[in-house]
Amino acid sequence: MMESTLEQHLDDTMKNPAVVGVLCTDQQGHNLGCRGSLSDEHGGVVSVLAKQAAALSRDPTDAPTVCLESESGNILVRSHGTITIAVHKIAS
Amino acid sequence: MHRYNRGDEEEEEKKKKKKDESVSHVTGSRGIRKRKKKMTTAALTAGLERIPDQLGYLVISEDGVLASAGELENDEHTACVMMEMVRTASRFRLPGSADPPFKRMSVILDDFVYTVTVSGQKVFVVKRQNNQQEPISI
Repeated sequence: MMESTLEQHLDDTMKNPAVVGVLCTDQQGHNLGCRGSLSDEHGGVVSVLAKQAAALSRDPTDAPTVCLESESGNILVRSHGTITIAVHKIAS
Repeated sequence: MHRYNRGDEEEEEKKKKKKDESVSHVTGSRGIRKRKKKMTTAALTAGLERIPDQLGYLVISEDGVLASAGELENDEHTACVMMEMVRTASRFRLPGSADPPFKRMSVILDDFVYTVTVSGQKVFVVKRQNNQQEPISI
């Protein structure tokens, strides 16, 4: 039943017309759930990127947001505790 | 590193223009940098110096830091992390897209932002004041 809450959140996130993909991963890069343009194969890169970004801040409670900007939109990555969220947004 | 550079011709052109402009700036305010520099370094950093709200910058190649200034002066730790992040991010591929994974990478922290671009085998990192709103609220 725990998963259904996450699945619901993923579906709700996808309702935003600017969002074309969403992914939720753990610290090891295992996929916890995804929608749209983001899939299993992206979990590793997303979790590693969040971990590397955390090394840039002296304050361990300050979770950085990483944004990859390209022609195909922006990928936003941020950690919340042990899980990392990636959202793929396009200009709308 | 060459694989990050596809589609960067436009940026290259800008850099070339900056290079031309910077010739007359060679004797400009370079006192802030303590590292030993060649004349060409001024061409690399002339554009970076003029970025608004800039707190510091790094120019990095595979061989190490080529130039640094401000809060990032001699910041080898940030340089290492940024190179690792560029390597990681370059592995990110969206299905059916031949584009490079990013034109620009931003790392947004509470008080400042690191902005990273790759051009001509070099990684340019700029630290800027964060004046933006929170990008997302979940």
